[in-house]
Amino acid sequence: MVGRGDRWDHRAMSGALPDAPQRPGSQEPRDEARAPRVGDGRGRAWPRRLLRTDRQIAAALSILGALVIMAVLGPTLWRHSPTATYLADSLAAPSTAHPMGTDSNGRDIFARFIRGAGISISAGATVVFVGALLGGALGLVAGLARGIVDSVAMRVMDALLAFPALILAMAITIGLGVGIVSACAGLVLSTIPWYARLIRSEVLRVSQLPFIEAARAVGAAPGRIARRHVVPHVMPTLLVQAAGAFGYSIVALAALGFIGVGAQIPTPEWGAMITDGLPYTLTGQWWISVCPGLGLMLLVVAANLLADRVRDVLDPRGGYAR
Amino acid sequence: MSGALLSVEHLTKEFHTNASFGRRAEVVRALDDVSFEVRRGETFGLVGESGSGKSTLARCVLRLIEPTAGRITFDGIDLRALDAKRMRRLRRRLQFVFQDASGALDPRMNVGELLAEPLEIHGVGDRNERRRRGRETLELVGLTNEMMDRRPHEFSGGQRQRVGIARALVLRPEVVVLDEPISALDVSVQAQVLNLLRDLQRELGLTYVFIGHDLAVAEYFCDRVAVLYLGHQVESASREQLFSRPLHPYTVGLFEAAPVPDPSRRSRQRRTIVRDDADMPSPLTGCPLQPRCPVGRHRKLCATTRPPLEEHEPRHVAACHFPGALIDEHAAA
Repeated sequence: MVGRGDRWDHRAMSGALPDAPQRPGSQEPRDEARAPRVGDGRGRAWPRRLLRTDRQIAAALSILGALVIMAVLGPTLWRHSPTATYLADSLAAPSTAHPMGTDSNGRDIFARFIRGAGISISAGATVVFVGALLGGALGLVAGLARGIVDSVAMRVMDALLAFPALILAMAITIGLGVGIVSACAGLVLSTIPWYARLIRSEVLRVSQLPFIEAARAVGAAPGRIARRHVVPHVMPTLLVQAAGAFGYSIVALAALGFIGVGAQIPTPEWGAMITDGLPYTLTGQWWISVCPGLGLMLLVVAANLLADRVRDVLDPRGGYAR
Repeated sequence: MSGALLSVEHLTKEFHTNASFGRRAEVVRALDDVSFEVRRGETFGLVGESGSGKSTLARCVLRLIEPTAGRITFDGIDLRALDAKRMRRLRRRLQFVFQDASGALDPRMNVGELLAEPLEIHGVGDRNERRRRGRETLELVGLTNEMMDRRPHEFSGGQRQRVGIARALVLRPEVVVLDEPISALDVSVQAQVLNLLRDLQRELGLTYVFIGHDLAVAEYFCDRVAVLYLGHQVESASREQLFSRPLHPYTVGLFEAAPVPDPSRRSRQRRTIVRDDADMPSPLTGCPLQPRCPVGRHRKLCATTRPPLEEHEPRHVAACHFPGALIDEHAAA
């Protein structure tokens, strides 16, 4: 883990700090601690500048982008079906006809790999989106309402957190009936407490900042204060958490598929594909498991690299001086 | 009651600590029976050392925190009887300037948004009208148009406080409570902001409640001044009366503890009221100042009976059994 300081230096040297346009009439000396920073929304051009100067984000986004494009356009360009079986062609090694070989039923691994990327990305994104939405809303309500609502909600969250997330997700999935949809539901439920607890504590922190009292002093109603002053300040924290949970969700979905409670066998889901190919790795047909495994690794590494930088760029604590 | 725009009667605020394992809930009385009246167009000062309850009082008056007991009347309206919605609507006429402007301005909003928000809340004008009023008020506090698109962190402390003042004034209120508006500022800017506030008062016909700890500032800025000690109002009078002949020993102590920018007067022995211990319990029955008071320290009356707030000279009230005793003694020495 690179320290915050190192990273800051690295970024400063690579020139990622946007030079704030020097406006006329700003002779006042600027407070050093509140120097302009990346992502405070000053200029509309910062995302592009960020991409140009931040190699980590650029790399992560290119990998993710490539996988997304592959998942979207792949099925139309690579005409093999991911599920059609050609028993005559079973267990073929990678070749020009089948770049990633075929499995025991003669299904084209490359077609399955392409479809699997789409499944992993979309299912992972869904899990993160729904989880962040529900968990964030729960945390917001608990933090604003306080009292009995807060206590009940947080005790339920504590109860959910008492189980390891993956075990809980597994139990819920089995309870709902195995399949990729129940796996997503299980993961959403097991990740909700992360968002809820985090957002609740952020709401409590933000609620006692002076500008909240100032908003009350000008006559803002509680709903408006929540909407206009609390939510914008907890959003970066939620995004950072969601970005971090994206990689986790993909791995967890694959893990559920791998142990057989997630996506079921003909579905070209990477986790299930790895399981499918496992026996053949001993007999030399490595491509069945290794190709989806590499895809999974690439996707998760990219997701985590991005999440790592999202934390610094959004910098929930540094967006304003305290 | 005659002519009072804002009157505060018997205001009391208690804070309760929660009981936890083996500890009983405690009650801290931050304000004890404070009463004063503010007339239209004047500046009423509240001074006291830190912990005297000044800021609590300021917030209670505008119901930013709910007082425990007492009555607050603004223009004939009993503020504490209003429900939340009516109170919010009335805030248009009662505004607050915070000590810490950098904290009181939402860092994610630019000045234009900060100034438009109060108008938006009270349904004033459309978007363009609100922007126009914001710009107008910004000019009123001595800032320029082009600052509308900047965020609070791009300003210096003095400018930020001007934005805070503009935000309070954009609704054209009648009463503005100033909670130590210059204490967080550089000494060089303090006078500027103070003069600005004074000009604005004249221009807009504002009534100020000024909270401060600096006596020199209070003397310069306020028409009438009340002195708070540990949540008790110990003295209140017009500026002339209070600064020429303070009746309460605590006020005398405050004056004598203030630094004097004149070396020839410094040689005189400083008779300060020493605060031995910040947690010194204020006696439950006697005068709250009694343990620290040069006059009452050894007097039985002071230790047993709480002095009532009484008018000892015309419109000059003090809560002391021996009003003027200390200042006369010092004058004789």
